[in-house]
Amino acid sequence: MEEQDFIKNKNIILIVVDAFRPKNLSLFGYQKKTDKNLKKIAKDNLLFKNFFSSSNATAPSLMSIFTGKYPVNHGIIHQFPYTTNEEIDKMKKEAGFWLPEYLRKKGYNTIAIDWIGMWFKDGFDYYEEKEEKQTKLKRLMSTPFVKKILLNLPNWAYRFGKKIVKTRASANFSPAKDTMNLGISKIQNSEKPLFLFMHFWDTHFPFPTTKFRGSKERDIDKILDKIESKSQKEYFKKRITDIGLYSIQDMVDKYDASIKEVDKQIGKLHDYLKKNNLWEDTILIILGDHGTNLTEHGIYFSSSGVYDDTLHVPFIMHLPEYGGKEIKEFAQNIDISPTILDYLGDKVNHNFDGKSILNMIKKGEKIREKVFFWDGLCLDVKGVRTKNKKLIVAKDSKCNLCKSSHHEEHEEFDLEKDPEEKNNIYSERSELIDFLEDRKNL
Amino acid sequence: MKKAKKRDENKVVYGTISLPMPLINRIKERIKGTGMPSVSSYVSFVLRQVLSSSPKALMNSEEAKEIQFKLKSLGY
Repeated sequence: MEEQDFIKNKNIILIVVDAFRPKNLSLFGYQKKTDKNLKKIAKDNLLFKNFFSSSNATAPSLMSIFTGKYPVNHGIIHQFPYTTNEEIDKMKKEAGFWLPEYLRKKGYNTIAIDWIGMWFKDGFDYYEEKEEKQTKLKRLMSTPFVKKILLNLPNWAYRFGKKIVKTRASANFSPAKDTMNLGISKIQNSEKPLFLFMHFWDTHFPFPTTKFRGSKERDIDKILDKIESKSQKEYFKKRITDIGLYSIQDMVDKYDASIKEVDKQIGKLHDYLKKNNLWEDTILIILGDHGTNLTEHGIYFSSSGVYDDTLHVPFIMHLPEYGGKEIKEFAQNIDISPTILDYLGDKVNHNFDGKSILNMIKKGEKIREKVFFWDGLCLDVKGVRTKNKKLIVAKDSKCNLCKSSHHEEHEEFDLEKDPEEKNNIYSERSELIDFLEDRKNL
Repeated sequence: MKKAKKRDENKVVYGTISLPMPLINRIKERIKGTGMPSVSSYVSFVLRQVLSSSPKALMNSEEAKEIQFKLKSLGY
């Protein structure tokens, strides 16, 4: 049986910004202008106001993007390194469709700029975070012996080491500017239709690549006093050591600065595509893999918990020949692969959980009344959300990061009256429970 | 990047392998309604599964340790 070509062969650029939440974008009402370029792009293209990730963690979310399936169906529910062997086994047996591989088979040059690696490299012709320039220190740090020692250090020794050796996470990550420059160089050198996936980690706490001078204010003790769980307190103390800032406002400002830098680089790409007459020949998708809490819900600068802060993400899409529009209906990361393939004219049934959103854009058709999500950082937490209600079921809510619990066994919120999800109204049974228990309704 | 257009010479090169016809027919039956577009796709998919390393080996690989190291600096 011969593979059929796509009807259209557009270039595809997929930009994933890590821990990226709408609340800190002026596009969604933030008072600071962190997103000058995104705003410019969104004005003439598609801006989704109610786009939700299927997970609060990177690995399950990327899997949903590339398979078009919910975590429970592609297999990877938990973030690496908390992914179990059973999950990987299930993924290998059941995930099926894999967007990079499918596009490669259709003749695309598939490029990823990321470091999460493992099975995510499958289907990519090129998969690197950066063009490697090894320093002597980097070579030493890369030896298995040194790595083994560092990984096994107890937390107190890790913190002590951080004080002595002034190395920050920045040494390990590629800044947004380098990521984009590498991406643009790959565009320049590609002779074929291109699928370019770029992952910006700059916005993930402790915002490792962002240069930021703090105010020298110190109000962190007030927050630490509020944290009841001893393990969560210890965890947050360690994270403070990593960032070297002692004021919550400084940390928020650093998050905003990291968004601003990523926004600047996306603006550079936009200008490059326009200047080189590639804009109308390119699908551009920009989204967060998940959101993050800054100080909400007693969870600090982490994507733990499945409140909207960690699941609601920005989603902006440029589809050639489609005009600008603001879309308020629900869509999820599982809809990305079906939409790309629908746009390109692929007619194969891939058994996605997701659906193409093209008719939603063209005719205003809803594709779903509910969104589903799984917690990638806690042991067993999942939920369902409608426009005005949300149900979270936590069979085991122990957080793999801070070892404390962020959810009660059942939580239900009236999102019209309580959009910040502060008042749990669950009592005995919820009308939403059946949707979670019956996978056919996904 | 050149303007996107179809170019046959840029497609991945494929080879040919022989399988007994009864096996091909069984695969055709197996993939009905699964979304798997062809027998070739199914065979490629299965072979990739077989040839890739076990989950345990994957999680203990040098690459996994490298990623774990980076994740640790992000708080994982």
